Amino acid sequence: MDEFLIKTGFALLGRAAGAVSKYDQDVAGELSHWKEGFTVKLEVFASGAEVALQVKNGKYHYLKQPVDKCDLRVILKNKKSAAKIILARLSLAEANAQNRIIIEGNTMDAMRYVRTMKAIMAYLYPFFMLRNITEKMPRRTIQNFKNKIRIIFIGVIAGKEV
Amino acid sequence: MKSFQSPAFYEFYSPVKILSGDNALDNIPYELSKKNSSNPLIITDEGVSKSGILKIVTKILKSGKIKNNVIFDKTPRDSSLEVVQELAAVFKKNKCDCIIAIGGGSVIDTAKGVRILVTNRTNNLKSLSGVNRINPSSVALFILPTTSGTGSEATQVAVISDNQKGEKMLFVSPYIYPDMAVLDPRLTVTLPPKLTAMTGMDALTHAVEAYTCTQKNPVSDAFASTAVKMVFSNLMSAVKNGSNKKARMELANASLLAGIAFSNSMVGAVHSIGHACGAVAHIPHGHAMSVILPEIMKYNFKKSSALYGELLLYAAGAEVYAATPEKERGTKLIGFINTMKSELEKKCGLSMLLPSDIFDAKMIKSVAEYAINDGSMLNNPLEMTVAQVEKVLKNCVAK
Repeated sequence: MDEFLIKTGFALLGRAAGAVSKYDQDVAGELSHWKEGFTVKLEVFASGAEVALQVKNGKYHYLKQPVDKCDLRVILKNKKSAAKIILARLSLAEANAQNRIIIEGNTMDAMRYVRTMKAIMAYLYPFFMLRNITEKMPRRTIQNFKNKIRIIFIGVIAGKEV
Repeated sequence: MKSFQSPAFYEFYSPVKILSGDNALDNIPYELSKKNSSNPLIITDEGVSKSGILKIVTKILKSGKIKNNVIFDKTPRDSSLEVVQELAAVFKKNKCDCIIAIGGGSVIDTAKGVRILVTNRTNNLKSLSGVNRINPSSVALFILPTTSGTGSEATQVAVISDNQKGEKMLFVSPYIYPDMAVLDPRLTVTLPPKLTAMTGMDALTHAVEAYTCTQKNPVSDAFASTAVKMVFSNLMSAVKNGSNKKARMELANASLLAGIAFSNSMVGAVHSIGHACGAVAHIPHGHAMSVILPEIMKYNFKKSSALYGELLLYAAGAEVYAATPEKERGTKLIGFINTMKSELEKKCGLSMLLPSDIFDAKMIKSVAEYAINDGSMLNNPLEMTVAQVEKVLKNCVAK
């Protein structure tokens, strides 16, 4: 059950990432600091589940196939922790605080990655779930609502590259 | 008021053997023999060399039948990539089998860098920078700290400067922990008052942040709270009378305990901003810590007031703690820290503020932008934006 949940959740995160990096200026700003082709991977130890994102034209591009080489690697030590993250019961920052993840790479890159993942989750999850994983709730503006609709319908449901 | 709650999960690791007390240095030859090491590379700096500490150590090594030591005493103020590479070559050329670092933060970081290079069989140190990128080492590393602040003798972190690119490379790995930390009163007794104050405030910051940041746990709390007690009880004595060996040893132990604590619970926004002040504005780390600590405590107060209140017991003692209403304890701790800062300024000239000629609006913005990308920010009890860091910094600058 955990495995199915994690793989589905990772696929949703991957599909949403491209759209979020197009429509959210803050995320686009974070990605502008990374070189073209910069690859970041979130994986679960010994499970094969992973979500790898590559920077292309200043946006996240979801790599559907497993990747060996990456610039930043975030490893969740077990499936239970990964499931908690997918269910928004644990943030990446909390997972780090509880030694549930291992980061391999530059810490500044890791900070940017954590912020972009948080932004992606803010578009994917309803407000009542977000309260568990963020101190500052996203502002409920018309622009944010429009972005959320685009990200869910174009990125996640249609799975279109933007 | 509810404060402490164990984390849902935590890890704690501290593999460093500690030798602490009178004549601790004299045990080094025996400890080296237990590591099957007999040909050390000694890394230090000119200050240590001139102070006579190096002579004491070499004499002890000689008496322990360790004669073939290679000495490098030109470590710069900021450990640099070039020096690390040069020393790795010296290590290999002389077939050294262990490293002894005698000095402060830069000497210790240089020694850690040399061990990383000789262990990982590469000349490209930069390729190993970051988190969890290095291999285990069989080269023993002994640390003899001559300041009481960095706690680097007990941490899994090293910072090396790439002077050509103007960058500071961060290395974090459990394989960076030294094998041995040797604390002997002879090592710190010559430290000048202002440096004693700065490094002492660094140790206090490590302890306070370790006790309040998100990765805290019951084991790190024990180390951090004891460190707070030892700094408050001994820093002023060591600044007023540098030859007070008891105070010196207590501070050395406080620094070590705080190092063990923060290596497991990590540090937060004070260090993020402090690292940025060092990298962008070249402010000495201890000075930055001293200035920023109370301001960040005010910023984090909403989340951490109860924990600050608990630390009042260790900072001020049982009588003050008991006489202070629960809700006022956190504020009182901040007051105690500010009072100590004020006394340190009077006694040794450690300024309570950052210099206004360096920290104009542009510099404040640059420092703030650097700070929010520092890894320590991830562990701060409350999130911070660039604007919030700028606001904190403005409160830290002399008007």
